[in-house]
Amino acid sequence: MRAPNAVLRTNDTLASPKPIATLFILMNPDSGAGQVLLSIESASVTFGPLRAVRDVSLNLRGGNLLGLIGPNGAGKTTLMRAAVGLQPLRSGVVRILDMPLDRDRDVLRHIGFTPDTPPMYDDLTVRQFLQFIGMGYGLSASETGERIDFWLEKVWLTEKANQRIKQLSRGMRQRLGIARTLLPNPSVILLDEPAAGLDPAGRAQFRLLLANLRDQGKALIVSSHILSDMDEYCTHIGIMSAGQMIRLDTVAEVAQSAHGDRCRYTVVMAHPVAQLEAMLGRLPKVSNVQADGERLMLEYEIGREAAASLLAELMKLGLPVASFTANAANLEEAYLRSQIRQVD
Amino acid sequence: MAFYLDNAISWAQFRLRGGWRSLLILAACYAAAAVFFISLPYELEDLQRGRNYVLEASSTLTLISQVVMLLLLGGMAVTGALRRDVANRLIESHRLMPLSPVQAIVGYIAGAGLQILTLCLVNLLVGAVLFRMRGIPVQAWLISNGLLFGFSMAIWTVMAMAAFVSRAIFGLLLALFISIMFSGGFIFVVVPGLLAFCSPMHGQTIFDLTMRSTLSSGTVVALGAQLLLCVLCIRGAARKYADANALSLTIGPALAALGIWAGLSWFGIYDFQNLRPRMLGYVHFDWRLLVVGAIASCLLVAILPLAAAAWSDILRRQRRLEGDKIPSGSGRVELCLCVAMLFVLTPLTSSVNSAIVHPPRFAPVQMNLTAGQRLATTRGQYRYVLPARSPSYPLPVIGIRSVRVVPQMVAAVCAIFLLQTYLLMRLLYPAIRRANALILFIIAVLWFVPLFADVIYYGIRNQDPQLDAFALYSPLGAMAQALSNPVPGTWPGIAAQGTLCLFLAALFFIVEFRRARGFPTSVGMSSDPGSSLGFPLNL
Repeated sequence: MRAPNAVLRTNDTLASPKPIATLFILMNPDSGAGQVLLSIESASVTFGPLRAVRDVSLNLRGGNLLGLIGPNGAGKTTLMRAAVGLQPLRSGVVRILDMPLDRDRDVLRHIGFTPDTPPMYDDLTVRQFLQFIGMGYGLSASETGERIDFWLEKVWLTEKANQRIKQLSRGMRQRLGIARTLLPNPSVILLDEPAAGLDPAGRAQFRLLLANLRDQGKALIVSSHILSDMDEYCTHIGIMSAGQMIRLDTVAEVAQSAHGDRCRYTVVMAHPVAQLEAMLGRLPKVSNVQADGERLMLEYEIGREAAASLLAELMKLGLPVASFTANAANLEEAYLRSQIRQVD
Repeated sequence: MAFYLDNAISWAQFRLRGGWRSLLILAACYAAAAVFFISLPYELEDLQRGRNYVLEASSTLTLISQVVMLLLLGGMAVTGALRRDVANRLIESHRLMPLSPVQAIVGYIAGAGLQILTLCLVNLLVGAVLFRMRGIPVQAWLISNGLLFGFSMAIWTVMAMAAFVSRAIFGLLLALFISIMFSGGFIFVVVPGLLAFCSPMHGQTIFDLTMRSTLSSGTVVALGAQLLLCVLCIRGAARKYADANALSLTIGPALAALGIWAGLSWFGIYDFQNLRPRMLGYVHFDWRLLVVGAIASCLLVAILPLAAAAWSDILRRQRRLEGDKIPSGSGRVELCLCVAMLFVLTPLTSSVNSAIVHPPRFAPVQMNLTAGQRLATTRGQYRYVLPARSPSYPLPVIGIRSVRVVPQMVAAVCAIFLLQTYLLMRLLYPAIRRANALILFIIAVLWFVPLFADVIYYGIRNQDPQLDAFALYSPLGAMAQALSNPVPGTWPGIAAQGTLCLFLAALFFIVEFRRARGFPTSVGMSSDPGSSLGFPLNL
């Protein structure tokens, strides 16, 4: 996991009774990282009576890669659309490079956004579509040509350059969508579910690409449900629920803090044991026991001594333990323990 | 051509239609087909007279194909391009580009219409050759095509704006064409604004192919209105392009559109005898039909600024209820209603032209008329004489003062209608998603059911239908009465309409009070007036 170079201060937490989450990422002045590229101040978005985003604030500097996670309907996509000006704000301000988004259209040159299903002209070829994008951003023909070659190579679409877009698979379209976003070389990049539809090799390549962009000093926000990937390339994680940013911190702190003084253990038995859950539920300090055939998950105190003590208790009960693992702190654990419920 | 190469949207639209290769092949095939189908009968004809007939028929057919291509196919191409991009959210991708919204809209119009424009250029060249062969100056052909092009651009921009709001916009254009054709031009009588707006397209205009450099006053007015409408529509479409949730016509531009329409309606009545399409023949129309039709069409157009005012008030009110400290915006609706009233009543004054109230009798051109007895016409077959100047028609000619018009009745009917509509919008917009359809339905019921009731009432009694019983409860019937000697029941009829308005006002205040007290009266008001409210009330 990449060591974050940012210090986070939050004035709202999960336990806060206030409905408003106001969170700031402030770079450590000694880190030498870039300027604030994206600033969202008290952004709220409503759809009639529904408040899709509630008073969210954040500052993103060059080199920050914020991973947005949360259940469906949490407001991640709406927040990203509001950040690029596609969704009108009910209140609040979005600034790109310190320029208000709604004042100057030229500021749009610095923003790149890929929605979950990137829209495209299906009857154009891949190259023609990217030429069109280059024209839209006022790039010269030669510059556009160079950039098209560069990005098609980066997203593994060079061989498809002259194919019509309607002939591309979903994953290829997703990669083309990313190329479209990156073609104008924006400073602020927002990607909504970019890895959806990518094959394993594509995902690995994509992770490298994101890390590369982050290291170039761009500010990125990526929304995804693939948490195992996100702790590889993100510097920060924002957890959203019901339109609020309920947690915003570095990846390490989010993963660690959610763990607290408890740890989830996975135990595999050599063969199924009758009434295992009831048996283990009676053990002191053991909680959240979930047995599924020979596989067992439970929560116990964190630490090596505690793990040894738990294993000894299991042995005392005469259980046929085939494997015993203390799960490491990770985003998925943190997210599952954050008690966020799925929106119906 | 530099425009096409610089504007990304027009470039993409051009590419989507096959680019240069497709364009050149299509143009060449079309030109070859046109030359073949004109030259074949021409060569087969032995007599010079027959050949002249072939050339004349070909000229007219070429112009008709220009009309079909420019108005129908071109309009369809522009609407289709925009609707496709709105539906598959490509517009959102375009919004992220640093391209000005006006540039983008012009790009859509130019790019989507390029193939059609190329075919029309072929038609223009073919027509010019035909004129040359007929020995007629090509100038007339060029002017006709210029007027047609201007009219088409106005239609394309209207359709571009409406494409953001309604999926059925092309169907509406087609329905308008069909209704003009099948009504034999009668729709121009009922909607005099349309008569003036379309004046280059009917009567002694482009289809005569005899126009010279001097344009008639009707054509000049129509061109001016088309230009203004183009500006308003491009601005409106650009607003929708930049923000899907924005109203394309806010109160100011919507009032401007109403002003343009009221002016056109006024001119359509005032100059009716010059503008009237030839397909109407000698049929005499009661001037009240024109005036009531003009005011009714103005009332319908007045719904645009009212919808904008209502929507802005609803949003303002909602935000105030949620605790935002924003000004109440008081006075804007009242001002909007007053200006709308002023414009709506404008057509009433057109009856100062005595020829409207007391229409002239048509006389064959061979009649020996003095210059003073003639009104200027182009090269029509018939001219008419003013009855005032002719001792044969000793009718009083003082326009509106010569008949017992009761303008205060008309004003009351219009004011009541505008208030009713505004209250309906305030009540229904926050409550239901497809409010406009319901509002239009209610308007149709209020306007036409009492008229039909009179027709049935007199039908049962085997008498000629009169608009003096149930019709008085309809704004149309009451206005028709107010324009002549009103029957005694007219004021009570208007009072009944006013009572309905008072009922709506009471209902509105109750609902507003409940909303202020926190009662849940809203059932999912959309933040997207364009898509949820639909065409045409909330363009």
